[in-house]
Amino acid sequence: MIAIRQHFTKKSACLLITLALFLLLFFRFALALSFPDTSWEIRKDDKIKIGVYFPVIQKFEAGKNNLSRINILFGKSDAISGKFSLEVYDENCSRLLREKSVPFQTLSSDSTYDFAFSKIKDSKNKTYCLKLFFTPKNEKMKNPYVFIVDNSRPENKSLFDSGEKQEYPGKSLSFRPAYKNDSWWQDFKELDQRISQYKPWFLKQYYLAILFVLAIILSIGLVVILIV
Amino acid sequence: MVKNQFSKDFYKKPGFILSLILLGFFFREVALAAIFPIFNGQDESRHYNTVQFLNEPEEKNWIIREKPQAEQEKERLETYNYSDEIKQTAVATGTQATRGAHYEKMDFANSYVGKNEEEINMRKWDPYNKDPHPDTAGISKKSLYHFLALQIEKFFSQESILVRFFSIRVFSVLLGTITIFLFYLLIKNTGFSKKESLLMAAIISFQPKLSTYLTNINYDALLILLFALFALGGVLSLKEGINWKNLSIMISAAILGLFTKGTGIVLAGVFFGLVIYHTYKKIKEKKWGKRHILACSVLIIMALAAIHLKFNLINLVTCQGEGAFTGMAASAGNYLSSSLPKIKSSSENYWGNLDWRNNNYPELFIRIIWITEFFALVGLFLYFKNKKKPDFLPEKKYILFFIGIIIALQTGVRFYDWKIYTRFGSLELGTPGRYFLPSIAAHFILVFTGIGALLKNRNYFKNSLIIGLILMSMFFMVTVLNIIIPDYYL
Repeated sequence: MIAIRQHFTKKSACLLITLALFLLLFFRFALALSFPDTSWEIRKDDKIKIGVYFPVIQKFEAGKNNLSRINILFGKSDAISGKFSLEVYDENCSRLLREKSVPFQTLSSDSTYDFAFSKIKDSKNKTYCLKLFFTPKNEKMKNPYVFIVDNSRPENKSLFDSGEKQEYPGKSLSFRPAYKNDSWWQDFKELDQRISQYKPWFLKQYYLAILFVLAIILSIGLVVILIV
Repeated sequence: MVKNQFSKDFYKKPGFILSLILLGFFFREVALAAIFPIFNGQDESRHYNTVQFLNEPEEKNWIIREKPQAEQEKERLETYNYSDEIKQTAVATGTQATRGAHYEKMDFANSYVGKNEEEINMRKWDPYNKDPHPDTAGISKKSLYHFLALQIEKFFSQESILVRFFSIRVFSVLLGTITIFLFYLLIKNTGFSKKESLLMAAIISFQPKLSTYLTNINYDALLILLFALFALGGVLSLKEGINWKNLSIMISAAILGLFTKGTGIVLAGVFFGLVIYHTYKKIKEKKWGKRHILACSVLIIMALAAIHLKFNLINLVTCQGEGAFTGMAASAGNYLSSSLPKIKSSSENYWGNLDWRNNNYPELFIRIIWITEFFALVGLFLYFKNKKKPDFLPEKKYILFFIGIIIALQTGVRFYDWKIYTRFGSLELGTPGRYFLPSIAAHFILVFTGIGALLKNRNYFKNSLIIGLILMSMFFMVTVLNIIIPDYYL
């Protein structure tokens, strides 16, 4: 009886941990789900250095509510490591609203670095001030580069390098803001919408959603049954 | 009480669990096939163009351009020698963005229908190749995979390219599902218990690279199945002795493999090895005499002749021309110095395209895998060193057979890569990890046998399989949720 109890406890513990890990995975995915505004182009037109104590300051107008992420493209380097910190201020760069740090070992210019934070609910048509800092792993490291692009759209307010004390009119960081919806349900719906595009009817909308639900249930169900 | 007992027994039945593995795999794979945008699989556009090329009428009553429209650029499929339909669809769907740098995204509409989707569904573009020298894959006219995919293309010929293309992806998924079933049979017949075999088949079904690769329009989907079928025949021959059943499984798998992709020739090599082994065994047991040996030799010579007619074996195994031997030695040296540094990336991308995003999750999983494989290697060494093996592990003849398959595939792929290297003077083909997926079942069996040999206890071994399943399923989920979906859609 004691052996059965022990056996049951170990299996139960394993099962609970596994389910908790799956839940954590999906929960994190749901939290991280936000949709970049692809009207902001990410390109490699030019680049500027980011100083250690002097941030690059970008002002822009958010196009939607629930601003929750800024994706930025940096220049490639294998010799620089440290962390980038992004601070989100109000229009006057005085009131800190959000901040996020992203550590790195090397820099890739093939994909953006994503600064995610809790959503700013009423962000639509409001101007925000982004301050981008770099903290090196050790003092002797060179400064990294961030890409900037020609950007004449009215939502791009200004770009200022506080290290070089230089303004860049008509240019912006090579960045993209991303927004969440009002609820996680709407987030999943928008993801379903995006995946459904350029797919045949049997891989769209409700069919796609049912497919995903079945895939998840059967996969987790299988793992649970094999543990038990 | 009786009803509870029935429910309890039902979900533990191997048949039910196997169905769950296969159904789960199928739906997971179809979902993955939907996640990957059109033409984003490995060499997929080329394979699909091969299918369209095969579907063209014999009489080409349209104008073939004298030269290609534009110089080829890697991300822009409209610059390849593909059918007009593929080229225009690639432009309309924004394939350049999805194939380009990872920060590039498609231009999404605010609906379930893409911005240019209606135009694609109008089928304005000809599914014909109008450039000289259409870009097709390998032995296009005789590849069994392309022939089967062609039937789907014909069946849905009145539908939009989106229906045709994704239906062929679903066909690849179906082949993959059959493969997982064959993996289960293979593992079970090697000597593992039903529960252990189910666990291992489930683990393999979550392997991220295999999962993503089997959603592609690519002849490897069929090749991996045929390798599994051949391995099953081989294991049955080792288990029961050679008989017509396992002989016909192996011969048909090898022949179909040859008609699928050049790599199928590896199966012929392994088959000959098995024939030699069985012949030696029969002679040793004094069950075969001279006429049996003569019959075997004649069969082998006939088979070699048939393969030579198809592949020109002399060209395949030698360099031609003056100074060929010294040239071969020098070329082999240069090839090894170019290709050996790439083994690390090859063994990384065997597990998936993990460098798409700037996060460290994949590195963590790869490190766990490599550490596990190191311990498995130690275990295998002990397994062969000790005269007595743990009773829950397979007999040594099976393990040697799987080692033989892996060595044969590695040798075959690298040898062919070297041949291309001697022709072009650089690594034009390379040896990406996916080329070694046909031996994935053998690989996993070896790893878990090694782990089992270290643990020496059946319960511990079963628990290690459960842990392996949890980790592999997590790895798969992380790959899809943290890498693939964000890369294309977020």
